[in-house]
Amino acid sequence: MMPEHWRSISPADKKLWLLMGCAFLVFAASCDPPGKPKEEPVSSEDATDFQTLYGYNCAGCHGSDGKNGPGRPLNNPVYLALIPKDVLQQTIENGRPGTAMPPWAHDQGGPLTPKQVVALVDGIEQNWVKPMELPALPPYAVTSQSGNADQGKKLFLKDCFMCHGPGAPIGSVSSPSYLALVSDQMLRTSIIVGRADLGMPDYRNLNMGKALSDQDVTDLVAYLASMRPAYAIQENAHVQENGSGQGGATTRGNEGSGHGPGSPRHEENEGNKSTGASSQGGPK
Amino acid sequence: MNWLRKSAIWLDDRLHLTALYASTAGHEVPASAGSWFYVFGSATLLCFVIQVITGACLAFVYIPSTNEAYTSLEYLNHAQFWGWYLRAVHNWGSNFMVAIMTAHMIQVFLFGAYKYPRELTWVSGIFLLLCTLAMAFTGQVMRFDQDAYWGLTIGASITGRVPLIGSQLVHLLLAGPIIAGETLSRFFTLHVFIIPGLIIAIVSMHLRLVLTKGINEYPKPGHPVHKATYDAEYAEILKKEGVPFVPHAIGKDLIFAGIVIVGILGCALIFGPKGPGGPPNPTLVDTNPRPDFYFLAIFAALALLPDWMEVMVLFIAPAVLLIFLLALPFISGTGEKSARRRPVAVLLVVFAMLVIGVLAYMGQTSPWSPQMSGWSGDAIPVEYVKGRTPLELHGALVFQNKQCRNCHSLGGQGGERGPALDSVATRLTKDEMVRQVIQGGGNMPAYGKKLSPAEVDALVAFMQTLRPKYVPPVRNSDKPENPKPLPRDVAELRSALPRMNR
Amino acid sequence: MSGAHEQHGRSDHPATEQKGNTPDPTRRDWLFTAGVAVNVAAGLLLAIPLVGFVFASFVERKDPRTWISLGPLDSYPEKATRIAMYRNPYTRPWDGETADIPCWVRRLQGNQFQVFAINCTHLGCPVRWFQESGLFLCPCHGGAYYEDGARAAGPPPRGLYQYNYKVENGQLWVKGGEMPTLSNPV
Repeated sequence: MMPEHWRSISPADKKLWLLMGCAFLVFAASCDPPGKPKEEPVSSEDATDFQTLYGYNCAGCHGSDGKNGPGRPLNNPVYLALIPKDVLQQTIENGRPGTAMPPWAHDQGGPLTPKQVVALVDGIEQNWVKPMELPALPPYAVTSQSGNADQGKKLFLKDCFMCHGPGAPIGSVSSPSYLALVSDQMLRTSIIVGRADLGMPDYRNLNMGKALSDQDVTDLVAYLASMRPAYAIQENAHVQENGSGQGGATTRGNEGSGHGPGSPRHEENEGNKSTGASSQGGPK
Repeated sequence: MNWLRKSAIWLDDRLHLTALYASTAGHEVPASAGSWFYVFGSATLLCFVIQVITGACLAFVYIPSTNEAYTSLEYLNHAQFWGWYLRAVHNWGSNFMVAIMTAHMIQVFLFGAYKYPRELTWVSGIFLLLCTLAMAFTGQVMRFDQDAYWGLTIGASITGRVPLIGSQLVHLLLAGPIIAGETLSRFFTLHVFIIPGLIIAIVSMHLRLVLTKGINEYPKPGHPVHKATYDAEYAEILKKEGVPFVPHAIGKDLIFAGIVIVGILGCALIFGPKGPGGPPNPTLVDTNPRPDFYFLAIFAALALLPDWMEVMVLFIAPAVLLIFLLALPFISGTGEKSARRRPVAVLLVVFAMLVIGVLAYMGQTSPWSPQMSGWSGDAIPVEYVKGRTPLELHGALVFQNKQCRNCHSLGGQGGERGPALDSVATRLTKDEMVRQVIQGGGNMPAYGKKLSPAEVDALVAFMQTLRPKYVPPVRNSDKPENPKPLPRDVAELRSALPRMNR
Repeated sequence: MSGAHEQHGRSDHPATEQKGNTPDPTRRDWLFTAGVAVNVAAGLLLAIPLVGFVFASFVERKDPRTWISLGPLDSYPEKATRIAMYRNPYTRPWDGETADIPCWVRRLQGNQFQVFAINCTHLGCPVRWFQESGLFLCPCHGGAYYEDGARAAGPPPRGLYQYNYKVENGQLWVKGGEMPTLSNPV
């Protein structure tokens, strides 16, 4: 039966069929069909591409483009001019004990290999550093010299009160919870570099056009630190005692686990909160 | 040509080919059975044949050892000439086989073909279904990557729930106390020798029953099956409108077979082989194991079941289902065949398909799984950052840092395990937020030990801002709205003032 | 037995008897019975090693677990949870990296440890440690455990499996070698 059908097909048609078959085979063999597996992409363990690494590990807090996140904007040339490269790298590796910055290096229990940390630091420098003139940039680190809190208060009332005074539109920086959560270094850095993405000027413009000096910044930090609640100061001392390399969060958490939610510390806090809540009226 | 004819006759005299042909391919079937609905059985068999052929070819290269399997798969994908394509055809062949087999089963069920006298055809079909699913599971293990490794672990953990002999069964399944050594060889033997052998044996019986008991005539409403009269009725149908299967009823099967082959080859060409995913190294814990689609529904059910129901559903439900399927032709062996007169049967199929489909969809999306990189990778939406107070911003940091984002989404990004928190301030008062965060509950862990009072304060301050513009946060009804106290909380004041920086 | 068979044979196969050339039915029946018996015996002889071979794990009573070192103590800082890896003692030369088994080591202080199996108690998927929130999370069905291994949320029926451990020669040792399941927790 079949042979008869085959015979009834004209020779020209047969040739056409054969040609089409061959063409299909040649096509399939020569160019890559969409289903052909590509070479394996690098696994997450070995990725050293900056965008991938940043997007996977940093964007959550520091913002998808290094700004507009709740954490320190890294896409800020003033900040990158201020912070020494090795401090940046150490911060990524070990985190900031007692703050929301966790350690990222493998040997600190984090996910990143040493190579990846270096790739991140280099990527940040390459992508976001801009050469700019920064007159009288105060040094990065909190100095041991003690600031004058009274002097700081005067400066605060002059330069910061408009936005950060109690009840001011941007929000108070003197609330106990906030001061308990931030370190002196964090306050210092924030005052110096500002938050260009959210509208806060940096040290050059905060003081009515006259750049803040190292001493001014130290005084301001001293003033803010003087309002820090007592429990936070104890806690910070504890972290510093303990704190080399260890994640601060873990340290504090374990201390907490000794007390449990019913601990005096917590109850005190609960009390605070309920007064806070009771004072809350519906906004009109 | 004379000698050709002579030798043909001689061969037939020795091999009885004509008689064989007449009793198999040429046997008479009702003309109504030459229907588009009757093509699925032969297509399933076709898929099986494709699987055997491609599988045998893959076995030329594949090495069933835990150390080498992954390498040989990579070799097949990248180095072996046409290796990736054969893997793709084998993978798509199995997908088609499961899909077409399901269609075949539904058709047989809806057309009442399992009724008298074809009970055993149905029963053997059920065993073929089990064998095919076993092939699917063992085949998933052959693709020895991360998913296969953890799939095995899941299989072992389910087995380990069997009362009394669970531990021994795990050892039997894994060929040892742990996935190593002979585990892969065991599954290779099952996949390549034992289950295919069983399938060939049962298919032979299945086909022989089709020949001896005849193929089901296209059912007509109002023609119920009676044991006393059916055989005579069927003989009558064959006498009146019987046609030889080859060539008069096989046409549609052939066309469908061609479509299936082209479908498999096309899918293989376009979508390619599946995996292998990451290497089967258990120390790579940054993984997200998912089964192949045949088992996604079960995978989903296991996520959604309450704890106390699990053992029941894992062991009793399959047993009940299996007994039901095996007993079906004996429970309803007579009566109406046409789906038009069997509404319960139709509803049953629709219900089963809906359940399996919805579960498989949920298994694919897995909303119950935490988004492991949500906390570090999903940025807080910019509108939740702009214009927030320092404390609220720090609360957002706490939110990310404590991995809340892994289970709660903001702006559509993040985990879906817990509710999205985009408008949480319109649902929970400040006090309720504090309680929920510290004590957990409702499938949320308690964070009391992991959050300092200041962190809770900041976190709740941030969550209080998660609401649509101009909608105030909910407050406790027992707190008087007036007289309004002095603003202690800046968020309050700010919400009363025109917003800046927005 | 053979008598019954005889009767059965006679009533069932009248055709054989009709042929009339069966010289000695008792002898043929005896041969048949003997043939079946011999084959049953031979089959049993074959089956014993076969079943023993395939079902060895059912019969074997040896405890597969042994003490394995997880390395020196100072690789585990106090109050931290770290991933550790050991070479499974039940191994074959062809195992490759599959025989490397991970586990989570939590050092409370001094020689106080908790060593958790990697497997979720729900269905065995690998749990991951999140230091900041102090939780173990499972990627499969969303099980969550607290840092001390207690069940926090999700479908797991119990807390994480814990290895027995000991401290010897400045090293941490765990007793491992078997996949933990509900019927056989470590």
